[in-house]
Amino acid sequence: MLMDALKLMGTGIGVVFIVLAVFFTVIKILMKAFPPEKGKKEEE
Amino acid sequence: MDSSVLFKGFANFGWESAVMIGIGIVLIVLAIVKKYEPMLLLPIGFGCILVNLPLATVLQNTMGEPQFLQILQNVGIATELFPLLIFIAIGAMIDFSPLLRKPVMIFYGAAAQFGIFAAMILAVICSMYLIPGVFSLKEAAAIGIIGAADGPTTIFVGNLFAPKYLGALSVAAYSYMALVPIIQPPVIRALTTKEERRIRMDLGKDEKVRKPVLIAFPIIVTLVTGFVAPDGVALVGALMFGNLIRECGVLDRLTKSAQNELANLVTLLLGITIGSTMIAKTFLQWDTLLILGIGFLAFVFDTAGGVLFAKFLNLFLKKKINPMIGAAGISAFPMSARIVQKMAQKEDPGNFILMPAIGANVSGQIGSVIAGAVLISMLMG
Repeated sequence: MLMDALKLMGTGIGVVFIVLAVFFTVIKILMKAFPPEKGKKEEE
Repeated sequence: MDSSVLFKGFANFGWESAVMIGIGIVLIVLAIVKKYEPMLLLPIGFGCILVNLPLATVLQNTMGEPQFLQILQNVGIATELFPLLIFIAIGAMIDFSPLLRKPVMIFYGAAAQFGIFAAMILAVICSMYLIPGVFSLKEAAAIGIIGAADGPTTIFVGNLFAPKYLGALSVAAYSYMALVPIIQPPVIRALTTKEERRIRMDLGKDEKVRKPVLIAFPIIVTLVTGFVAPDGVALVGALMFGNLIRECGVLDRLTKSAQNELANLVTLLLGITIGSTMIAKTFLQWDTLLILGIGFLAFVFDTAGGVLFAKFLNLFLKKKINPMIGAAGISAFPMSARIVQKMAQKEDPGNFILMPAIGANVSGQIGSVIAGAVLISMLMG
């Protein structure tokens, strides 16, 4: 069971990093396509 | 007419139930006096008292018919409906702008999920050497998910993999989230030097993230998760649906309803329903103590994982990041970011790292949900 758990841990951490790396790339592309409006404060 | 039935509760009351009622009262006191997650710990505590009264008639009446807490369990927990509705509400409350302005923070939200997996391994080791066979791998994963520092994710995964431990898992998750200001600082101090805690960070420009980005982000996150971890897409989908109605700009009434009425109503029912799973027979076991202990360590591992990851990245970065930011990568929002800011200012009163810390904290919310979705997909598949 320990080996299964270690395998799950390795794959799990790996997949979480890969998925978040995809999100990082997506955000980079989106922010490049639609650059932020400089000098404007957040609306709340 | 038989008047003896009026007092039959006394004949059906054991010391275990008295202990559980005591635990319920402690939770209520912690909620009211210490203000530890009062919105959840108070209903959980009261649900615990109700369900441990003689004959537990709030679950089933003496005729064996389901009563209101059993009905709520069947409708809201067994179907996973309550945690998902809470996620819609949380999504409607989250502003992803700090993360979108500084996307690199997303990796800190990933690193701080280390505690989930480390706690899972610990639960497996306990099951092998301490109390043989006490937890299956799925139950170990459910215990690990306490480290998500995220109540609804814990309930969602816990109900799938370890329904009999749902009460203990939820109490551990919410209690330790409330104790983040006590758990995190010693771990951060132990792993960082004074110089590292004094590192100042670029606060970024005062910029407004544009609408198309804010709208596209929740949709893309849902799409990606749907392909990578389809079994866990309900978690991410609910969170991102809530965020989409917030950001779309045309559903103000729905956003306000999700942020207020939905959040309040479901929180109210969720707490008392979770409390009603804390029955003496299943709660007063060594397993419960183990779960509470491992859950605590999960938060320690989360914090350590985030801080050590930040220190590791600093080896390669020209412009160093304050490694305390890594600790803010857990999902406990916004406590974790506030703690990091407080610690930074304690070392250097002019040091403001709140915004990057909030970016990491928001990433932690995404990271914990993704970790939950990945675990579900891998163990269900």
